[in-house]
Amino acid sequence: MSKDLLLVFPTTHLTLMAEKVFKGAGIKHRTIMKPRKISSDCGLAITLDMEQADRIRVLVESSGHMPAAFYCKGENDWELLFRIDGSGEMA
Amino acid sequence: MTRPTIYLNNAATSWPKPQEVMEGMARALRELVATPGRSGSAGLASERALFEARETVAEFIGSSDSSRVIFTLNATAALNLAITGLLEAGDHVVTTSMDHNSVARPLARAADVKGVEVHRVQADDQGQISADQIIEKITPRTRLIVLTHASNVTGGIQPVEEICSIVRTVDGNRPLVLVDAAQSAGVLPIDVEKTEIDLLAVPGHKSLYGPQGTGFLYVRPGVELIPLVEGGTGGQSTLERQPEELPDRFESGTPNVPGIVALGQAVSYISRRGVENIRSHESRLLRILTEGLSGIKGAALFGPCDPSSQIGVLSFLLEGMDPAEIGSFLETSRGIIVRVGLHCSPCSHRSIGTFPEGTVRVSPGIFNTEDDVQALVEAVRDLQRARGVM
Repeated sequence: MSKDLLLVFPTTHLTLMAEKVFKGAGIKHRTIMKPRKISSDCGLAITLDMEQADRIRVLVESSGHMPAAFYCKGENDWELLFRIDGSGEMA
Repeated sequence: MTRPTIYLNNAATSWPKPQEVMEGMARALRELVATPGRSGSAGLASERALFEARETVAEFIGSSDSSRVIFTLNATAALNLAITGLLEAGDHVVTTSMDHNSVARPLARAADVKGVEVHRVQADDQGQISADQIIEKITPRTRLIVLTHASNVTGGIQPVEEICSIVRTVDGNRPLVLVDAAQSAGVLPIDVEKTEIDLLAVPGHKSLYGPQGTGFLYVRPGVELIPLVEGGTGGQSTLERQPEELPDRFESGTPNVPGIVALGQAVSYISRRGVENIRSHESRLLRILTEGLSGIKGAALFGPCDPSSQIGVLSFLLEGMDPAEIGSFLETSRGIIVRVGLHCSPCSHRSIGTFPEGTVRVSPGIFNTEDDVQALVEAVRDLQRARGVM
């Protein structure tokens, strides 16, 4: 697994909620300490395989209460792809 | 030989605690070394433990979103957050004369400082109120209705479901309903989403059988409160102001990890035993107490005296005797622990006509037996015989 997709949530509670959702859906993931350059949100992040991105996005959007920032691994650092707000909409 | 203690003061705090609650707390102290959100990966184990406890509590009260469960020091802290965090100048509140001081005092401050108007519905001489009494006091300015799910003085149950279902039909600005479940959580079934309860305050250490220093407030989505405590939340540290997201918005500072972990264990324990089974057990003990004490000459019982409308809490007095003397006799001569006085609820005692002396309150729990409550009845009978009343 390349772990080239990074999800960051506003709170640790939401990160752990996402962990639970991904585990329930059988999606491989790893909870890590958030990379230093991403300054906002909580101290944790979840890394996943980019190939799973569409499925993950659907899960996060359908939860309706899991605002999240999606990052991809760039050449030198993580780059923001998009955000989903608390109502499950693209922000 | 030391006489065993018969503990009948579970309405104050339950005792003993289930083995797994004690073990959960000890394990947390031993193994969860780091502060959640503040100690790198070592803190993650603590975070997960808090998350699991929050999920357990949320499921127990019927909340599909565990972030709406705010851990607090006790029910009093939860009630203070709900009342002080919500009310603003010009608001109107409907409450009842069966309030505990943990409701009455924050409301009094809201009246003094913010000019909030508080209408206290008067209970009857058994401490009971009807849904109609509450509903007819609602005005367009009513922001909050406070209900005591079960009285800590009489055990009387207030019609929370009925009131919530009527409040749902109110046109315009629907008042919010705050339920003080200090005595009922763990004994009466509670489903915040089905009943549409807006705010629910619960202690961990009473009928949930968790440790002291734990409790929680459920906040329904869409209900906005101002935090009473602000500070570090372990995340979003770049923000100058308190974050908006729950539970962080209301949980600044290092949390009581061992206590909350043990509370999660306690709620799991109560769920496994079953609230209906617990209610049935306490009703059986209450029936023995009610029938036994009411047959003693000179004894006066207060409240509904009916297990169908009362939890396992019973107040009584003996004619011509100070309740403190009765409590002292029970403890020193029989090792029976009860609570005497006003039970931090003077307005309840005014309602049932026992102010300012108060009553003797008997409150069995899940670990009490029929022999325990029978021993209390026998002790009171012996006391009356010794006084020459019988």
